[in-house]
Amino acid sequence: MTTQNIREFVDAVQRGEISLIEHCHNILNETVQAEDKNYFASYAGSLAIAQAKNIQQRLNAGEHLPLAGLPITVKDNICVKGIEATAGSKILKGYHPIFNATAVQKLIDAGAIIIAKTAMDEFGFGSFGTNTGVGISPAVHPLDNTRVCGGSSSGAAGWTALTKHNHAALAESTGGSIVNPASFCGVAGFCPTYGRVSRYGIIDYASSLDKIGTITKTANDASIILQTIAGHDTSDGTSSNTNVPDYNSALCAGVNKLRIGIVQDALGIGVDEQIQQRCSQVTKKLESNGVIIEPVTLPLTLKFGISTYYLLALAEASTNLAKLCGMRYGIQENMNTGFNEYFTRIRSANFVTEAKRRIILGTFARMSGYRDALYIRAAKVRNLILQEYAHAFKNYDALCTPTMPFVAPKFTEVSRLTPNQTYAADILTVGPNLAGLPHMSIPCGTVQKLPCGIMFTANHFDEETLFKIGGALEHA
Amino acid sequence: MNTNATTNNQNEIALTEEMLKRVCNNAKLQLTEQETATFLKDTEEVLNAFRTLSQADITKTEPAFQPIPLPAVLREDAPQPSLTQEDALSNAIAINGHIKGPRAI
Repeated sequence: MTTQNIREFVDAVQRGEISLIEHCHNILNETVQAEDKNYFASYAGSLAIAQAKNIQQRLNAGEHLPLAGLPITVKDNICVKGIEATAGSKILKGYHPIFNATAVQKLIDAGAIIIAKTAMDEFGFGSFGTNTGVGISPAVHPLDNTRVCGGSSSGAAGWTALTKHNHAALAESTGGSIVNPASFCGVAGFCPTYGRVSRYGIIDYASSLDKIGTITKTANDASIILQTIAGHDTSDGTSSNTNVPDYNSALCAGVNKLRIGIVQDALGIGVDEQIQQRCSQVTKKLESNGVIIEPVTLPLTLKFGISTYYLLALAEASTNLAKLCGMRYGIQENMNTGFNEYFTRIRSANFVTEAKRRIILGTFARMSGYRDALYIRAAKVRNLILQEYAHAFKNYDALCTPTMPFVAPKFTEVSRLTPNQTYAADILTVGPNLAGLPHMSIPCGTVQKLPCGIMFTANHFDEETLFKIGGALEHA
Repeated sequence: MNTNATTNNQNEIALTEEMLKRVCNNAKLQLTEQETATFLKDTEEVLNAFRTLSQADITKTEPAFQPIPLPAVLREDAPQPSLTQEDALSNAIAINGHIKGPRAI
């Protein structure tokens, strides 16, 4: 049984109209049938059935569970107890976390069922889902097997678009890894403010940039999941104790007199003209609902965003990945050699090319003699970008751009891109990620029969404004 | 260039083959000849893009290592439940209750 949205599904479960165990079997079968799409890193299988039985018992005992029976997939860089977590990398093959990420635990406590871990670029190092780990095939687009899903949350977006069941994907963004694949696959991607959702249990890429968010069919569904996973966590020193408002109210609050700035300099950088037209149709619809639409510019963000993001992200990644060396967890081989030789052998054989490139660039950016000119300079430019956004939010409730400059490319097109051309694809998404701002991509139609997305960015901890916009567009 | 030099000038920054070897040694990576050739070419292009940051006026700007101000991040120093030895070793190759590692000497 499939309902309009997550809330209706949960209500039907609470009323006993859906057999949880039967439904769980059905959706697990569906995940296996979609195996050739490469959306999954591992399957929960019997663990999911056990969860379904447990939830049914809790419901029978009269417990109210706000996400009763809802199937959830979790990106493979977020830990789920007992299910292999590799972050898309061979170097972590065989690692079974002994704990749940806080966001996962909150979902389980609310009655959700974890059904699978979703595929991704190795450690999130990619924009197209093609930089998969050694021996791992990339996810393919739900509408066209010759095209990519986007990245790095490729499996999460592909599966959310493909499944007919009510479902939500827990995803993660460092520089755009939620909204990018959501745009390419035609679903809703929601990345909250840095600190809004605990990062405890993430296999880190870049600690000052990583955020857990959602990929769902609608903004409405995203609001329900964020309501559950948001909030302070003593296990994550960077999580915020800022009050978590009622996001459901925001969905119905309307957008009259909301001020949205259309980022003009984001349109002159090779964004497909037809995608610009689709976005324009959306902003006109908002205008007819009382939104004040005005042009705005973010010159520093657009000019320096990519370089700033990659310098900081790679510097942080090179330290975070230093712990992956073939002992304690993941790949472990014969250790009868010296540690230097062993660590080098393991890391060289089990990281793919892009991971090696990023580790090398990040290590270089932090080395004595170059740190000030690269890493520290980028951190200072990040401050300028933060100031530019702060200035914009004095006048606007939200900022708007297309999510991606183009629709999902073909694998053959991606394979011809240089690293710089690949990094440039993130031009529209790195800004809000560098600044830790909440942002949301929602579908805005198709170009060449492929989905495209429009992205809204709000001020820190103002996810409500995004849900107001999402609610207005989905109810229109 | 002198690989031990300190520079604030982005235009002086280049990843030579000698420096690449040093970086790989620090990062515990060994590249094939093909990878070395590819990375030297790619990295020069990427560093060129990074050099655009020299155009930003950062003279009066502090670095932002986090996107939002962080409160005191240390929790109260109170005892809490910890991992059992069995859990701590569950993903490792273990010998006599200890994690096995490669030779240190």
